[in-house]
Amino acid sequence: MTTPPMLRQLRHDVWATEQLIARCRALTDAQLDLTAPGTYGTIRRTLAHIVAADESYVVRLLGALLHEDRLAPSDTVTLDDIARHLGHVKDGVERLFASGKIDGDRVITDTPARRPDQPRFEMAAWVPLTQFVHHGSDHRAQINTVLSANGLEPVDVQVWPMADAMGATREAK
Amino acid sequence: MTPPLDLVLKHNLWANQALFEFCAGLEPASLDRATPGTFGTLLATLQHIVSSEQWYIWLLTREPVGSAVNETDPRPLAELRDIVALTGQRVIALAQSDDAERTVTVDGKPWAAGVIYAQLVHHGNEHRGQVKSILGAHGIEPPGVSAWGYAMGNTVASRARA
Repeated sequence: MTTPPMLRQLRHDVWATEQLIARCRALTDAQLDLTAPGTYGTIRRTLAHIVAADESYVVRLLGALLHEDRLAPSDTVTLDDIARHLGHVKDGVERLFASGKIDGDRVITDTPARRPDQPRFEMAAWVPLTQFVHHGSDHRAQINTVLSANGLEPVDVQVWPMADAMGATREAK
Repeated sequence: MTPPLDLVLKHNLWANQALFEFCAGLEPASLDRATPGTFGTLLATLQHIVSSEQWYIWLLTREPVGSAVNETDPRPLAELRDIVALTGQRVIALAQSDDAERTVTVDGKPWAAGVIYAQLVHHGNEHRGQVKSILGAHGIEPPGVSAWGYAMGNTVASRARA
């Protein structure tokens, strides 16, 4: 069965964030609070921001809330919290594509996550899908920058190692 | 019905053009700036984006797009800006009729063509993020290149909604 290209993009996104979380489990609390000039903030805050944003995109696309309230990024959020919410994102991505391809032109008129005091935005489905992919890679690059800038090993989160891990490539006979 | 990947690739082209255009307006010395933890200087990172897009398209088509960019041979930003427009347009056109499951050989290994598209998109987002980090680290407000900005048709809206 053909994998929709967009589903492949989103699976990579979730996989890459999982790799970063796994890497961060080897860090101390103090290291999670490291940052570097020109980036979003601490590793902890940036990771939480990625996942909280992912949740908002998935909720908008599904038109339904996830298993629990959206992750609230803070200076005390734990990797377990972040990982649990990323699990909700992962599940939501699969549900999104469960019925096949997505029409990028479908207009989404609102999001169940909107608070009453927030303005309502109408947008084509491709907008949060594209933003999902852009946003994750953008901020994961910042986390790798913070790691490298502080003498810590970054993580290779390109598509190549994911494809290798999934058996999507093999030595040609 | 527009395939979402088509818009993802159009965003990639738009974001590259927005970023390259922004950098073309900087003092030339700014292009040599870097910040710890990123790929290299601002110009080297932009050049890497272009040479990589050329390589991904070559993997998909075995045909060159634009004058070949070698990462060890610095090229003027204006040339890179022209080439990244060509690669961006080429990959959009390619994806419209390509089969994501088609086998593409990379370093002797068979890959699904869709993997190459996914890597191209990831790679651009990742290195544009580094360029923004370099700019930010030197006190220069980077342009917004998010999908919000692309959707709204300008780079100011994306900063407001990031």
